[in-house]
Amino acid sequence: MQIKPRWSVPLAAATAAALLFGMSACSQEPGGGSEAPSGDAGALKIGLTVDLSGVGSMIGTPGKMVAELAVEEINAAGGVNGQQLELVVADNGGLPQNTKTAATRLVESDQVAALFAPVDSASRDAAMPTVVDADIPFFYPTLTEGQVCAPYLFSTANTPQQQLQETIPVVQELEGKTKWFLIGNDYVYPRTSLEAAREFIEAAGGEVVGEEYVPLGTTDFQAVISQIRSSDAELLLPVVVGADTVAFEKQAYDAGIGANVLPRLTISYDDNTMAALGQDIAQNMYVGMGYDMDLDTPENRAFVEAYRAKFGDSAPAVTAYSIYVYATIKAWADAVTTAGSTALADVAEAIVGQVNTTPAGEVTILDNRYAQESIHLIKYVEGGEKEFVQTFDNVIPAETCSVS
Amino acid sequence: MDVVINEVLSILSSAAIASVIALGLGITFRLMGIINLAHGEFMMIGAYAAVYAGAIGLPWPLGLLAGVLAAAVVGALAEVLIVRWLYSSPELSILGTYGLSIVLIQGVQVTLGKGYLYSSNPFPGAIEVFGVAYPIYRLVLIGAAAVLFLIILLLLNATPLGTKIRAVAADGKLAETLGIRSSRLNLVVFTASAALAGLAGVLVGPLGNVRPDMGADYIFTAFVIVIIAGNSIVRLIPAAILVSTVQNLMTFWIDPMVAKIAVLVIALLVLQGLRRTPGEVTV
Repeated sequence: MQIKPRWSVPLAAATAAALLFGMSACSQEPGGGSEAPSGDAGALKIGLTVDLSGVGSMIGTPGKMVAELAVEEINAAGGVNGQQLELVVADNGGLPQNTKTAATRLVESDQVAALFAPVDSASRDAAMPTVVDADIPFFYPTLTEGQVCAPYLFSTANTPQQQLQETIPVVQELEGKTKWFLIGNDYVYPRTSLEAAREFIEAAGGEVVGEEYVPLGTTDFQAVISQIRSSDAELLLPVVVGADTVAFEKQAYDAGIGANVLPRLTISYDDNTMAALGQDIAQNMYVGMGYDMDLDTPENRAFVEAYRAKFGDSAPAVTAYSIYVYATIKAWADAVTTAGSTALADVAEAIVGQVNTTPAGEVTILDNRYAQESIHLIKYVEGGEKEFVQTFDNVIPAETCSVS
Repeated sequence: MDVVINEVLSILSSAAIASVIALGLGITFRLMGIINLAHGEFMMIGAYAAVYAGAIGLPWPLGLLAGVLAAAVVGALAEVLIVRWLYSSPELSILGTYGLSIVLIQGVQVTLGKGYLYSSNPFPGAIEVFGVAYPIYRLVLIGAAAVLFLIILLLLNATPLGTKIRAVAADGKLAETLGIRSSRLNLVVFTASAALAGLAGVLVGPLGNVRPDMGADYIFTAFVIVIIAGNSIVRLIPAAILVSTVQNLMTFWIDPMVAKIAVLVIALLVLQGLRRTPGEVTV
């Protein structure tokens, strides 16, 4: 005789708990931080979808905070065309399918006048059909590989080509070295970035002596490190992202090819990454990015002061991944004020060519909906200090595509 | 010659990490018939415990101990609350432990946050091995793996407890008729497996970062090693070395993606070539 196992109760409990946790992880958060009470008929709503619970929450969390700050400042200055703004936030949990749901909710239920989405490009693409149907402007204010153009899509943050074009020759000259090894994760952003890098390196008289792509989620980098070491590389350009960054840099440092031996130029390591690496490993890394919280300009000092006043000193660092959310909401508000309308065609006409003075410097959206903006070359030096090597203003994004 | 020595050490240290993870996984799989999809999360628990122990100023060996204990406690609780009820069915064990893994990841996210924790290297620097400078910590890993395997194999083969565990693994019901409490032994084995995962979690911390979903990155290779090793604990060692060799050399000479695929192909070939029948356990 066989006794029937009594698995059902604990298993059902575990499954239910798992489902509950899963659901709470992707839940949507209405009315995040807006000043106007939810359902205020007079308020003009804008939608923000960010990753607050997944791997991208290091970008999503400050992204949401700066959006709240932008809306608060716009409202304090009288709103847009006499109307107060209301920010509606939806968490996408880092997943494309959730982004689609979030976009649909924001567009159909909340009837937002514009959608802002500092998310990964797969999530952006998932939200696109919804935005097209609604005929509203879609702002993509985070670092992007570019390559996608549409009349309604405004990509306002840096592209790899902008980050690399001016910085590669300068790093070659400062270090007196020309032989590069390129390493990236195996997906579209690193591949596009390193393709651009190769072009600028060769144009600057440098040479690519090795190029390697590793799968996302790689934990053991020894073989790649051996490859870098057995090449005669003098400089390294890593576009390794997320958790892989820390694993790669720690292991490279231990294996004797840290940035102290082999200087890096990176376009994806932001302040948060550098903090996760620790100051010894970060030392001697160059970063080419459109923003850093320590930029010494009046606009940035005012922004940082307001951000710290609102969210405190322990709030996460705002980086190039998230600052353009702030800059873009402000730019949209100005364009709506100029146009006197929130319709896509009117906003597009007003915003293209509009010069926006932002904490990240002057940002001008061009015909193909990418932005001409400043790029800063920053070097991490001893003791976790930063040195602002050079600023390149008005760096033009490549015409990889156009709006017909 | 330097390249050869460096590659050999790299392969050995990769194999050391992978084999310790596979050891815990293989013990529950081969001795209990449980496919534990929460093994990576037990690693994560261990890694977190060690980081927090370090944060309050405890030396590294105590952090290691904290990691092992934390994972063992969570593992024991999981056995009593969930896994115990699933022994009759490997399919249910997959579902149950998968649920457990989600609960553990989300539980840590909610209570301790999603950010990366920094696990510092307890043995920084490099040392000369046959004229090649090699990170000390990697060498420590190789040594640790060797000692662990020795202890586990001795425990299973040369102690009364080991005999009982093997008896329960071969036929639990028959063992019960001989006066062996199989449920109690299963608890011991599952807890030991979780403790090994916790240890592995502490050991990999300094090579990467500590975060709630870190386990998933390590489990793939460990499962492949368990499959290749078949019904044997000791064969986990050559299996880990084989997988690490293929992965390292293919990455070095061809491409990391090709290396990952090659490892899967080897697992398939081994499965097809041997056509083993399950049941008999050798150690």
